[in-house]
Formats: sequence, structure tokens, C-alpha cells
Amino acid sequence: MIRVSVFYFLATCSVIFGALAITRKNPIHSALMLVLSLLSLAGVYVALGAAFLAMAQVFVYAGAIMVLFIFVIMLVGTKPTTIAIRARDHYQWGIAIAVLLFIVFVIKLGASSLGIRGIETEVKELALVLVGTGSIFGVHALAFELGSILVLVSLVGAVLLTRKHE
Amino acid sequence: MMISSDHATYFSVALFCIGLAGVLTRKNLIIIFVSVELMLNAANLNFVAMSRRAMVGSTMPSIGDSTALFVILIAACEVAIGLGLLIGLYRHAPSLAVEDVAELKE
Repeated sequence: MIRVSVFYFLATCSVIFGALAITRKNPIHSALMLVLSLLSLAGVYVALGAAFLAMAQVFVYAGAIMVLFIFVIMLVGTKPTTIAIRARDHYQWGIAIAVLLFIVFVIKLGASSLGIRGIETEVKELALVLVGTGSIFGVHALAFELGSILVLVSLVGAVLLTRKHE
Repeated sequence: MMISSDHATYFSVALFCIGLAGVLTRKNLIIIFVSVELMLNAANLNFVAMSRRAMVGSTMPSIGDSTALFVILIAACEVAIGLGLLIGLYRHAPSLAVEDVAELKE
């Protein structure tokens, strides 16, 4: 029972902080709202029983990625002259598209409980394709190795991109 | 009382649409990045919720969770590269508004 109320509370928090994150004028406030949203989501994962994923979420998102974000914001400065704080022209269309998509999703999900009953097997199959099949302990070996290569490549790429040209 | 994964899906849809609205309406590249992170997290929440439902009564380890873990991994790479690009861009022309980076060549 407590678990269920924690789930709904944190999921609501996550959505609210997400909405705050995209409406702040100052990017640093935006980043801080994002970290609150991500931490709430980590709590949601715990409520759903995915404790390890919650830990990874806190380490990677709330730790590493947020440090990167805040570091870059500090580096480029938050002066109004350098960072545009206004919304884009014709931003109403953007909001309209997002709201429309939300309505379509909700109608589709609510129309029939049959609507998303089939998805779970698709998720399972997609996941099997993504992480490979095999015995329980060997399941993730290939994806794990590929992931580490990806991290290495992006590390080298990030260093190259941020290097100063002589 | 069980947590309904349908409800988790609704929260996921809400987060995704918030992220989409951010990408479509904001001008600042950093905030657009923040919105993309929100969308990735919405997808992750969906993976976890669906795997909860798919794995009911199963003794297999939850595959949806592992997939979400790989999404986190790829998101980390994406942020590193993206923020690197952003710094390069800022060095090129000190502005982070999307209109100002419409042209990559001088």
C-alpha cells in the first residue's frame, strides 16, 4: 500500500518537475529541476521493484550527466546576452503538437484495455533482440561489450570536439 | 493493491509530451537538451513498467530493465557528445539560441 502511494506521489513529482524544467528561464534552474525529476523517477523505479536500475539512474543521470550539464552551463555563462531566454517564434504550434500527441496517446491507451495488452510481448521481443538471447548469465555479454566500445568512442569524440584548435 | 503499469504508461506519456513541448518551443540549446533527456526517461519508464507486466510469474531476469540500463548508457554517451558539440559551437559563435546555429558554415 505504501509502495503504491509512493509510486503515484513520485511519478506525479517527476511530471511536475519535468514541466518546471522546460519552463524555467535560467538554464541552471532548468538543470536543477531536471535532476529532481530524474531522482523522482529513480524512486518510481524502486517502487516498481527495479532497484538496480534506480541505482544506475542516480549514478549516471543524477550524478554524471547532471555534473556535465551544470559544468557546461557554468562554462558558457548564463548572461542574458549570451543565452536567449525567450521561446521560439510560433511556439504555440509546438505546444499544440505536444498537447495533441498527448491526447492521441491517452485516447489510444484509454479506448480499450486491449490497446496495450499486446505491447508487452513486443517489448519482450525487442528486448531480446537488443540484449541478445542465451543463458541467463550470458544474456548481456555482447551488448555489454558493444556498450563499452560505444562509451570509449564517445569519450574520444567528446575530447576531440572540445579541443581547442591551434 | 498493485501498481498498474497502465498508470505508469500514462505518466510516461505525460513526461514524453512535456519533453516534446520543450524541444519544440524552447530556444536555448541547453534546455532543448534537458527536454531530450526527459523524453529518454519517459521511454525508460515505459520499458520498466512493461517489463513488470511481461515478467509476471516468470523466473527470468527482467529483460526490460536491462534494456532501460542500455538506454541510460546511450543517453550518457549522447550527452557527452552533445555537450561537446555545444562547447565547440559556443567557441565558434558565442550564442546558444537555435536560430543562430542554423548555418554551420561561416
